[in-house]
Amino acid sequence: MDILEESIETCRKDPGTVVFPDCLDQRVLAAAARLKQEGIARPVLVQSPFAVRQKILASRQQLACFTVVDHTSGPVLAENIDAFMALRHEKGKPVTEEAAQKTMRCALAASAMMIRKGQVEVGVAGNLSSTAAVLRAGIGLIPKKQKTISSFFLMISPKADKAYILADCAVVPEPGPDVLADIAVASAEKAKNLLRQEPRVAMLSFSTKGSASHPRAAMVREAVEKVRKQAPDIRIDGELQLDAAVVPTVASMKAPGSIIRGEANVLVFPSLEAGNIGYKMLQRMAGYKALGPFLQGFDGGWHDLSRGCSSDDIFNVAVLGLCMQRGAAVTPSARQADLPLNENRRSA
Amino acid sequence: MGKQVITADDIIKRAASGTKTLDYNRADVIITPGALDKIEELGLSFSTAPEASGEACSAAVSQTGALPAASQHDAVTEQVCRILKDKLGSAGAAGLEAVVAGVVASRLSAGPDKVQIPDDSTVTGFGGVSLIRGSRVLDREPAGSFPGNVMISHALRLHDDSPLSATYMKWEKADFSRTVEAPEISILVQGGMDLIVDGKTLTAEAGDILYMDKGATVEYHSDTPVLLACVSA
Repeated sequence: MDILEESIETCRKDPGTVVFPDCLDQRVLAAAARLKQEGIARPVLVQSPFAVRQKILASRQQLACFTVVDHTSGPVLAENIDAFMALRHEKGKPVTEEAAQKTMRCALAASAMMIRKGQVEVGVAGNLSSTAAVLRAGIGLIPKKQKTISSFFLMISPKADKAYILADCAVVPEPGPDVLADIAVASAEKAKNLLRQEPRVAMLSFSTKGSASHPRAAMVREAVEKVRKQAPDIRIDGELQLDAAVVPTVASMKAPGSIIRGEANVLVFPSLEAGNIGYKMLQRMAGYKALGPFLQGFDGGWHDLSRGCSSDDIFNVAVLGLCMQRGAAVTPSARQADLPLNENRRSA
Repeated sequence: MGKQVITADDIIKRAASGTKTLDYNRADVIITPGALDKIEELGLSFSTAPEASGEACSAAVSQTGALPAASQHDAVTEQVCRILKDKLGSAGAAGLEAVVAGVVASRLSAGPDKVQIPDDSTVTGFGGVSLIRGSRVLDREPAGSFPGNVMISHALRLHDDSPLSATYMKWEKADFSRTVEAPEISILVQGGMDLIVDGKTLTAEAGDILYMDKGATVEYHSDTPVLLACVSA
């Protein structure tokens, strides 16, 4: 049983609530129907109920019974406008009622507000909306755990015997050392509550431990230092080339004494192009299953899909998003968690 | 139309007109035992072979459906008795007619079988007719109690080629506005609501039927729980 299957079983024991603002889409209806029919989650669709009904009828499939919230309905809109104006007032950036109404007539913002209010646990969008729009709604309404909002992928090997967290592959194009440090800290947490392993974070570069002298490599080294100051408990090393990060024999030659000993389970890329290319290479050329992207940095589950996603992708993000939000992707006994490093080496 | 019943009187008339060979299509008529006796007595014959007795037996009740009840009972009883006599000969014939008459009377008065719908079944159907248990179509446990939430049932379309489909919509208290995308008929099953159309208010009550044409702009207002059954193409 891989992480996804274990997460499905975990959710089935205590189904959560997932909101879908981009729900006028057959892929979302199919994913939401599956979540509901399999007893994994209770989907909530945010849109006009008549528009949703039209989509259900057009699908010509036997879809589940859905709960829909019309965010433009008078009482809902009025309540959201008041809450948004109060929020902006607290932030010292007040808005007019007209501007608040314009914002809250957007299904993304209304869904983010539901997360803020604790009415739902996780929001999944981006199948129809742009990443910028999804991020804007989240940043405007959902409290943040850290300054940087970034993303990660969970990559699972074809035999499901290896899993990695890869970041950032979807959001921050050119992170500086502070932002890269934030990405590393957030991603390390995912290894704990998603992989159920102690995080071993590799900060990737084209250089290993000063083998090349270049500002880009120096930036990565600076980010490593920042993480060590911010979160001294995190096992992190860099800058490292990929082979020194994940192949113990190479690590022993290129980076002897590295704290992660070629057994990284969190790979932090120095730029978005590297991260995006890297996850696609694992997915397309090595047959890894790519689950995500998941947004990180919000104090609430808010995730952005690719517009080319499948219904299975939507289902997977909802399931893992729920588990991450609860800090328990799988039952602790189900995984070979926190193995001593030498035992992990055999399975890596 | 039921089958024509040929009695002894019919045979006598045909014989009187000089007929020696009877041209009845035996699949289309019921010939009473008295008529058969008269045919034998008068030395007449048939131009076609008799239909298989098993088929005649199984079809006896349904084939006489168009006859008045008393005639139907007599005709069926005669036919079943004749078939059984053919099969049994003289043995066991005593009292046979009374037994068969009792069975036929019982069968004819029983009416159609009543279908028992299992408690866990949402849809039951056959012969192009389906019955959907409304109480099973909507969730008993909604996703949550959110202001303005509406529960929409799955589309009730039971045949892929059906041009019609239906849904239930249920809400506690809500206001909506919409432009109707396709003509639809709704039946307000429970609750009441105001519909504002072209600045005028229509108040609908439980049991009312609404027709909405494509392009109509409608505002819904309800302060009470509403259950709406909608049918559209």
